[in-house]
Amino acid sequence: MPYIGKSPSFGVRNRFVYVATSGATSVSGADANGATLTFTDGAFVDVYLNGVLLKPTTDYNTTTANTIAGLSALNTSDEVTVVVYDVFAVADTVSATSGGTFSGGVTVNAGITMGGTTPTLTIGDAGAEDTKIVFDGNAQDYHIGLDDSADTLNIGKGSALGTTTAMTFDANGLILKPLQPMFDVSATASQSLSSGTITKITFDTENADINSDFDLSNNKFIAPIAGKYLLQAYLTFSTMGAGSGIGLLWYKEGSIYRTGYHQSTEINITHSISSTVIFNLAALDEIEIYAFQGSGSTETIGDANGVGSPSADNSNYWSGFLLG
Amino acid sequence: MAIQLYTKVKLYLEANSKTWEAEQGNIVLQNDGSGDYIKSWNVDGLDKPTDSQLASYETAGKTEEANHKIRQTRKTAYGDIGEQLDEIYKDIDAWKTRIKKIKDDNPKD
Repeated sequence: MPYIGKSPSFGVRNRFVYVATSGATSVSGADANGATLTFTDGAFVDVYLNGVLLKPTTDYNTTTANTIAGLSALNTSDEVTVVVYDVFAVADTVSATSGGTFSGGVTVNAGITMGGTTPTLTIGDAGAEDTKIVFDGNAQDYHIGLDDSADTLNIGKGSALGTTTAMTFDANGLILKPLQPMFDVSATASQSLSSGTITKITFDTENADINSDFDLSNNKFIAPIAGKYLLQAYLTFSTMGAGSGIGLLWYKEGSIYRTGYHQSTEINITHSISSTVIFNLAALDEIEIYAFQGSGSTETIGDANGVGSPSADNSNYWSGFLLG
Repeated sequence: MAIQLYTKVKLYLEANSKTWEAEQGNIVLQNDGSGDYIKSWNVDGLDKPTDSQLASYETAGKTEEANHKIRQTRKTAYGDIGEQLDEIYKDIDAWKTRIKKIKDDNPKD
């Protein structure tokens, strides 16, 4: 609401009333209401004697600080009214209309809405320093920030930029998810498979296991979180006779989930079978790989002898990652 | 080498007038890393074999697996059936001689 005169907090016009004693030629200090006369510029003072406005420098002077002096000798009960006009400086504030700059921190205890034609929130001033937004949670904080030295945008856990980074975007648009669950295992030795028997495939080498979700001791992948996972496996079977069937079986929670099968029409050929599956898993669901061969004899698997692998190693492998 | 569970089950089926080929969809043999075992058995009219029944096929199983290996060796040596037909067309006696030698070199038990 507009107002004239005093605002609720700041005075712009102060009135002091003095009841004179006989012969006095000045007024100062506490007035009849206990208010103490003060002013910073004598030019912004009006002095009335019994309601008649006096003329500055002629009828009075303000040479002495906070004092109206040089009055003609007053009579008893003369009323001298001093009106002091003063301005309050609205220093170090930001205009609601024109905007401006806060040079210190600002706390807003309610929502912020950005309107206008192209609302833009800019964090940073092109300086060589990191910038970030911190989400201050009850149990866990997260941040989105610019790592200025690496020129990457990072999203991560905690309030400190660069710790527990879950995702980075670099200047070329390449996106990394360094903590995304992913594994790659292989077998450095062949494994025997009895004919007609669904046999669990074993691995002995973890080439990668981000988030440690692959249980190498028990040859199973354990989903760390509910989500979609892409898993792929490749198995190499030893030379088998014509008509020998081979199969790769994905087990989910101990039961067959997907099966791939191949029956040879060739004689004496090394077979392989691969499979890629997208699983919709619950947290802690377990995935295993089994294989089958029906040659009638015990055969080996994981033996790519003569295919650029003199040691016959690493021809059984399994990898996968969390899609989202 | 130990006899495969598959071989013993196959012989058990044959001893009871059934075949592995016909029943393999009703039987699941599995190995979770601690040896082969019968995970499920749904053969109509024939009970799942006991351990002692399976053990009784140890000797016959050795013979069966040895003969299977020989059959595979012979089959490989015989070669592609199309090539054999061409061989027969050109000189059937020479083909018979070659086949007999393969059989003689790889006798069954």
